Amino acid sequence: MSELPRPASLHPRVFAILLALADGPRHGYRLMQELQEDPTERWLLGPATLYRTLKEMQRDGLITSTEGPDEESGGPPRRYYRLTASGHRAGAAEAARMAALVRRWEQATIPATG
Amino acid sequence: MDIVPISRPTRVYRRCLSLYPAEFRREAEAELCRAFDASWRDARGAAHRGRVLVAVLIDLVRTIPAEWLDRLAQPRPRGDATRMETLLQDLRYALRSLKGAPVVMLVAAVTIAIGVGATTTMFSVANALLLRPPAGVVDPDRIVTIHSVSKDGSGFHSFSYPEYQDFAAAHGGLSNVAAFAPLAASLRTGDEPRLEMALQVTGDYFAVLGTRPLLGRFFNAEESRIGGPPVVVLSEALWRRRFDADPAILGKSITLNGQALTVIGVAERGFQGQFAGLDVAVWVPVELNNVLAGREVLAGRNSKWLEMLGRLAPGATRSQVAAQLSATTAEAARQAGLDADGSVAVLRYLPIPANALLPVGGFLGLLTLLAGFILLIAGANVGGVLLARASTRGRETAVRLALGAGRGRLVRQMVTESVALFSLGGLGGAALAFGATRLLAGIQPPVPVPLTFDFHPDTLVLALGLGITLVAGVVFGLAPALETTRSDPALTLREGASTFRLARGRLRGGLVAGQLAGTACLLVTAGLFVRALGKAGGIDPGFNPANVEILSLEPSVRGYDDARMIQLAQALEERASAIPGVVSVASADILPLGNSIKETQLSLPGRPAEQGVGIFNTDFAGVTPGYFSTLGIRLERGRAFTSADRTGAPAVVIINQTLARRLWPGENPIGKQLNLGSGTSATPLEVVGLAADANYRHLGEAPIPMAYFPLAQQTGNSVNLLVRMQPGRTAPTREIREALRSVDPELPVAQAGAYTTYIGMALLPNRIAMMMATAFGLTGLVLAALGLYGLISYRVQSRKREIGVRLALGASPWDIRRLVVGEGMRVTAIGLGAGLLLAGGLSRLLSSLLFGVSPLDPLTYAGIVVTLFGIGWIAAAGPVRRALETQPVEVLRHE
Repeated sequence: MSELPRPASLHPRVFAILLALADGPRHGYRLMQELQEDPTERWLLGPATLYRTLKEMQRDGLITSTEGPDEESGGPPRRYYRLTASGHRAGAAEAARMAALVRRWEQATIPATG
Repeated sequence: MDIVPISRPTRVYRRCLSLYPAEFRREAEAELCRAFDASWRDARGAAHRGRVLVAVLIDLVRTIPAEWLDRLAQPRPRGDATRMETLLQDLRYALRSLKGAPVVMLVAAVTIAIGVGATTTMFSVANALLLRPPAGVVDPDRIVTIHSVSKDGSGFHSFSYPEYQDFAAAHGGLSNVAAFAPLAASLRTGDEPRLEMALQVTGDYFAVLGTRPLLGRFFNAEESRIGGPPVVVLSEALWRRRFDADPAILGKSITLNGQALTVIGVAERGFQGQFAGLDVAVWVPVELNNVLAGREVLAGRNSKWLEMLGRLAPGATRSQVAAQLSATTAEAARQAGLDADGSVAVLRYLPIPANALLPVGGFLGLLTLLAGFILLIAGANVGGVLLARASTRGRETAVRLALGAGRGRLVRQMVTESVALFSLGGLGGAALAFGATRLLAGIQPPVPVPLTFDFHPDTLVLALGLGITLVAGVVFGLAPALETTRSDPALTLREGASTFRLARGRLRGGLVAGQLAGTACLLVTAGLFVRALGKAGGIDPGFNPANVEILSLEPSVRGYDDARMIQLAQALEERASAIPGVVSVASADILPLGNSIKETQLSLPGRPAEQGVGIFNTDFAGVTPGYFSTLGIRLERGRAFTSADRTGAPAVVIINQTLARRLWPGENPIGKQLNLGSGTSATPLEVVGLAADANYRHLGEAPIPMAYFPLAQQTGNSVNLLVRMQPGRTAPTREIREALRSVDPELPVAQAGAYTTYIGMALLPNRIAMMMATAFGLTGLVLAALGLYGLISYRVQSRKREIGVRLALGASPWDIRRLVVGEGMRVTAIGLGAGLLLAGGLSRLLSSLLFGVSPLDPLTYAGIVVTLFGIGWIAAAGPVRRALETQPVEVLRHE
């Protein structure tokens, strides 16, 4: 997988997916549930939009997917998504960019002391 | 791979997925369904489920086009057809097959165009009059009209200026209140004064409607008080027409009713006030009424002359406002020491006056119904054509069914064909509607005010027309499609398609019968109107309008008082009687059948003040001595007025027979006393004459009470000069105008011409309805005849073998004729029966327009029966000949 050029900013939905996958692989529906219940964003995310986004992220090399057994319900096998190294880097870069923005905001709004 | 168990919503969701390109569906369907199913199951409660549905809906709307765009950007996959690709295929097939029979299809499309055009036109008119807010009216849902309702339940009464002031001070849930009254305005810009429509309004009138000025501003508080500066706002049309759109008009002065008014604003383009069509040229403050109309009515609490409207404050409802304003009225009446004589009704704003809703709505409903019939006839006709085409393709259909084509696919294909055909017709219909509405807008209805209508079909109407077209296309395409694909293909192929035809013959018969029923309805309506108008021509209105010229004036626009108005009438009569060929002249403040009404109350001294006992309502008019001879109204007893019945002389009255019967049944009224008005303010009168009954409000009305007063003792607002000519003399229109100019060159003419024309305009609605019903009825008749002909020909064709056998076995030509004609007559009888039953039910709605012709007029119905059976006979003639030409040997050999 080739090195990804560092993006100026990621689509918030893409970043949210990277964030959700950061602590381990998920299957599609889990991912959707987590995003919908994310207290900071509460994404109104439908299955097809998520599916399309995941497909694009796979194409861009941010995530990969494998089929595995459904451990929760014991149903037919599910597709699990996990971060790639470049997905990890893209997420970290985005987080750093956001942190820099937060610092600049604080400097601009909090009056300097001494 | 399948997901078990699958819930109903998930099945629906999977259906929705078929809107995606096939490739996407193949790779993602299972996963998406599983995700949807899980989130539906996990959703607890209606709110949560609602959220899931919203998310999914947004999801679908967002991603379906995106997926298709992605797909189109890629190289085209082959093989597997998606729904949309199928649709395109069907459409191509439909267009090819329509091209294959251009004449049939063109006729069908024209037929549909007539139907769709007629209905769309009616919708446009209804939309312009009842639904679409006029130009410049903003947020019409919050506007209300305010009416006074009497204790006896009669409604739509006007208000006095002090009452307006009470309401404006109380507000009562309204953010703005406004009052208005029409005013005849004489506006002089060129060489001759012209009569224009003015509206007197209070300061908030424009704010209530939400309009903004094009130039300048509207009235401010200073200009909205009695004695304020004389100002005027012009309509954009007047500004353009009479002032060449002069951008420097503001601050200039115009002369209106002899008063100089300063122009402070020009209303926005198209703004005509709150009524659709009413061509208002200028707006002036109500508070200028004393100056402009020459009458002192602003201060009087009993002078009810203003209409009111308001804009609801945020959160307020109409019933709250009605309750608060009723309380305000009661309180004000109590303070003024008067009886509170009713309550206040607050109605939704409509672009036509509230009391016109019923007649206008009813009339439009009638015309829409007529248009609907022609659409149904057109649809049934085209349905029949499609069915006929389908049956010629019966074998093709059967083969395709036998080869495993899905019935659904075939039905869809035929419906697509029908919808394509209807869409073509619908386009033509839209074009027709644009033309027809323009034509209709040019008609000046019989009312004494200038009207300018804008009926053009807007998006709403066009969407409705499209909807109708598509629904008709599906309905009239589906029936034949289902019918053709119903039978067993194996049977059809084996039997040479004859069983197949039997079933279809029934549906086709039904469609033809439906056309005949619709046609019968239209023709009955047309016939009733023809009879009614014929009767109206023969109605004796109780006076003779032939050879009478009229000249209507509004002297109030020049500030005439009663004395000057009487002088004017006398001077005009003197000059007019000098015109050669004039038999007699007269004047009146109001004309019979002149679209305006004056009512008053009479009381009998010594009788209890009770309606119908001692108090009587009657129409009345002020007339000069020559009135009865000029109009040819017979005086049964007593005398006509003379020049001695003038101001200051004893007050006298002439009553008509109906009023006499009510006041003194069976007695001679001459010399009897009665009072004009009731209570302390009543004026005593002596009855000097008894006039024959005449029609006053409507032609052919049931006799109504009428009282005539000498014009010199009872002056109105208008003066109508009546000039009776010797028969055969040309109308002295020019001389009469010259007479007017020599009396007062500044007085504009409201109306002039032959009295018969004036009255004839009153029949315009009836004429329009008759013309429409006749045109549609004849179109329907032609279509139904063609349908019937097609049906009978087809039946003869499909029974050729039977006919051949019968002939071979010695049946006489008469038997064959009876067989074929009987077939046509049966369908005709069924259609006719249904149509007459329907017409009998519907025609009751017409009774008010029929001048006493019964809605079940036997002559009309008999005429329609004869006409339709005649048409049935003619339609059968050709097929009968062909049946008789059948060569038995020939037919049998073919089998």
